[in-house]
Amino acid sequence: MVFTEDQKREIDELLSTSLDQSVTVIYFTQDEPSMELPVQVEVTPCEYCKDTEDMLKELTGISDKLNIEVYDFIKDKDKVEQYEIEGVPALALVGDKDYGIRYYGIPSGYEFSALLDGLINVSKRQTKLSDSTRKALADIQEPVHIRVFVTPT
Amino acid sequence: MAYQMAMENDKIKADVFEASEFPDISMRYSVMAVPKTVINERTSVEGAVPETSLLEEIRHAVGM
Repeated sequence: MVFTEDQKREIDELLSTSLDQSVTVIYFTQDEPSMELPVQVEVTPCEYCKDTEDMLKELTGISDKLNIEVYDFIKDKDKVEQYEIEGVPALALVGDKDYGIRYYGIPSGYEFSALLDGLINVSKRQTKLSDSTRKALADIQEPVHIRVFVTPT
Repeated sequence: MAYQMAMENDKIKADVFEASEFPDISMRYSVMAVPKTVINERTSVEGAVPETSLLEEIRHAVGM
């Protein structure tokens, strides 16, 4: 149990009134380093992978509109490449298509609210940006890669 | 905010990193304080960025 019953109820209340279409959380984790690995392969242990996975499974279990797919950062090379994953724990929020949304780390504190917000926007397949911003963004032809660095508060 | 920008255009990708869990990547982008926003390896802004400022930074990064 990651969330208390009260927290679950609160999340359920928010999601049941805000979600529209389905969203898949594509989650990347890493197994504990096994003895079978050749010695020359250096694997950095993933401190928060298990906690993040437990949390995401419980979260996506709250609503029928939320799904989760779990992949391994070392073993599922094709998925790591497809989603251009740079480390673990990592998650992508995917609707009818991949919107290019990734979160790296355990989403706690303020970042948990940001995750819920992301789930809701992807579920609605629309953002809350102003018309003028949306128009200006649509005009961009070149690739843009935004990286935002945060810490939990 | 960055996520919403990514939703509006398939050419835009948005990654959010929990800086303390990814020290190597944070170091690569010289993250000294958070939040910090880096666009296309070039442009960077420290502190919270409102919608219009982030849009301007993106346009600037692609030479618009």
